[in-house]
Amino acid sequence: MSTPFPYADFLENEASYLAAQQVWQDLIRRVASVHGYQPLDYLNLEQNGTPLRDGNPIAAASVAGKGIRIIQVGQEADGNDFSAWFNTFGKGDPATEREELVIDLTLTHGTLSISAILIELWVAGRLDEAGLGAWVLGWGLEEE
Amino acid sequence: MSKEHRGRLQAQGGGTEKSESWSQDDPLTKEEGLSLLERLWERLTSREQKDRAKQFDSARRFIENVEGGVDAPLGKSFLNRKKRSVRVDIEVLAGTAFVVALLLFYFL
Repeated sequence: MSTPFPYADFLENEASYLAAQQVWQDLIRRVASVHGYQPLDYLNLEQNGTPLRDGNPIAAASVAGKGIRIIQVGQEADGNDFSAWFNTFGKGDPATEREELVIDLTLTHGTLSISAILIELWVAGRLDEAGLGAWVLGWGLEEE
Repeated sequence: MSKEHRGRLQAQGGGTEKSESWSQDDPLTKEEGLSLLERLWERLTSREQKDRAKQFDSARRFIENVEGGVDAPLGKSFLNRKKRSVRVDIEVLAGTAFVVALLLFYFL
């Protein structure tokens, strides 16, 4: 069991939310920088000019055309504290279609670490469905 | 030619890939969104419904609680956290969605 990360009250406390969001933005920026890219926005995280602060997603960016979407849930949420999958955002819609790695988690030091590995592998082009499945196994998920 | 307001609702993961989409000249209203969600629910098998019941509730609550609509591009996933990727997705790909019917006059 990983130690809970700071900002556990991110859904109730704006400062905590922004701090947790910054963790993800910094991580994605660092990975992008290593590969010579700048992250670009590809999802709207606002509603009528007001930031959506429900953690779904808490961060989203495109690096080298590859989407990265992070969904962070509260510490009290049911189920496992980490999962990840591939999605084709806008499948069949040429103007918006984009492959993305989606990560759903409760933020802990452990889930942050595995997320960093997956994002690095994804941006480097070294993460496929089998590899992602192998990384996600072991988190106690039921067979689908 | 693509319509100005487009998107889709999906039940995904665990071997399921079913969706209901919209592509229209006017923003999708909440009522239309909830109706599409209901249509998607009815297309699922009982097992698929069982695995996504809470996730449909979350998606329904999101649509109901939107104030003033949401602008594209928006992507939200509601995951069954006991499974790896069994989920309900909302994707607003272009334009605006989940407005109240009265607000349509503002957009027209």
